[in-house]
Amino acid sequence: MPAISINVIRVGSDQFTPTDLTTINNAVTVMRNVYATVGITLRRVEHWIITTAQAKGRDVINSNSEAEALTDEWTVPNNNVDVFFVKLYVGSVAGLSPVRGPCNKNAKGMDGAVVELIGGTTGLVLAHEVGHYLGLGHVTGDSTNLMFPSVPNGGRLTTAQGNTMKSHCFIEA
Amino acid sequence: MTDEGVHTVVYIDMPLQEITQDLAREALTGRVAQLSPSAVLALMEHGDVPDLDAQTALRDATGNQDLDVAVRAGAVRTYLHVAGADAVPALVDLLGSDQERVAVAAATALGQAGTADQLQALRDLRQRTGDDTTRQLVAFAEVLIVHRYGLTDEDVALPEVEAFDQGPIALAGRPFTGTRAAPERKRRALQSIKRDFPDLNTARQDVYDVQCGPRLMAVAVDTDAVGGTAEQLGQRPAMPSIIALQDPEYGEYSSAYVILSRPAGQNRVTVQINRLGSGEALYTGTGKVGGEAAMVDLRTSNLPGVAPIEGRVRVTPAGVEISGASEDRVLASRNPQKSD
Repeated sequence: MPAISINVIRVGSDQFTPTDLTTINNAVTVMRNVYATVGITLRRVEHWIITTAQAKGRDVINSNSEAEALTDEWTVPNNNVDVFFVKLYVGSVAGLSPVRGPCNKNAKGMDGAVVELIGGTTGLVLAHEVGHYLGLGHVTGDSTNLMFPSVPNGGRLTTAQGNTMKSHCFIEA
Repeated sequence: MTDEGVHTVVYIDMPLQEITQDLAREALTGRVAQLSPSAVLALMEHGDVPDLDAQTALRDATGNQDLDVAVRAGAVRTYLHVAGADAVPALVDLLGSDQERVAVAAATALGQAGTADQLQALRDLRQRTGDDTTRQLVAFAEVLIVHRYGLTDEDVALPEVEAFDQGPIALAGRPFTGTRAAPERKRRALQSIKRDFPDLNTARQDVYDVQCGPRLMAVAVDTDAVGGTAEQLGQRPAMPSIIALQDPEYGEYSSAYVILSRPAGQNRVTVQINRLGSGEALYTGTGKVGGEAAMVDLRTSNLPGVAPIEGRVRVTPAGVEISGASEDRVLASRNPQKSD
């Protein structure tokens, strides 16, 4: 069965509480369930940390350019999608990702997704942003679709979207 | 569908019709299920909470010990956006915050909105902290003030730079050039930049579009600083330019980099392109000012995740010419620590 693996990277890890860790674990479960509907398994979830001191102010994301800088500077050297969890992404944006992100994580441009912890909606943000990384664009006409431009949404994926995701170079057999 | 290669965001769907000021304040604690603290900060910034005095609410939030420290730090930035230069007295108070992360956020904001009057307070914070990162971030806030106001009697060092020995890349890289931005793009870019730099005189800015790889940038150039052939840059520290990145999907701009210059004697200058906030010098250069044209060549710093470029900025009385080439790769990134 096609599978994807992710790196959960906590930015400003010393600020994360046990409740935050539960929120992340629940988000991973949501993503696993959403992706299973189109036949994609979430295989490995590896956990990584960047301390507040190491983050140099980017533990709180104030703009999309700061989110980009975060993914520019940090990379996990494996074939998983890097997902940077931050406690606050100032503004109405809850996540940022490239569409069809690169498999060479040292290529120029954004090479990971940034996800804000926003309670029970975090799982949809995670699944949405990784969906972008795997090649999905926004779906504006259907608020039940995971790729609707805002959350919460219905978290649904179509077969065609699943096929697009399965063609990404990070998909494992 | 969105084009491949661009970045795209997901927004939080906010129940605007249900917002009250009490609910907004409560949501900052993170205890309101459908309204995250970051979303409330956005509502406050845009004046979307009925009957709420956003300035007061945000100032209160920065000092509220019941809030998560990340929310307080985010409130500092939002407070700057809402209050502009009026935020400065409260930001100075926050340099003594019970949470150093909040103090650092206040220092960063002061770098963008403060004046020479706040330098001593920043210096005090830098000298009393035991944290190297805090020291670097506060030092950069001081650097910003010195350069924004062209202070010649302040001894503040620019961020240290380790040059990257990149070799010639011009033939292998993607070329880029600057073109004058259309009026509407110029207006929107400057509007965004002014939120971060409230004393920016937008009437004295020229804006150039630069497409560098996947990134579209608006380079705002201070026409006072680079008037003629930039002779003034040879006289005092300056911040001749602020660079904003444009979101490719929604077109919104966000301030990302500043260009700082210092006299180096005999009509020569040293230049850095620094990340806003962290202050890291991504690119550095030297050049000459005055004469028929000012010319600065830029090189890449040896920092993780930086894309090598060869760049040239040429200033004539007719305007600013930006040209160069960038590589398709970045310098090796840093690796996070594995966690159980």
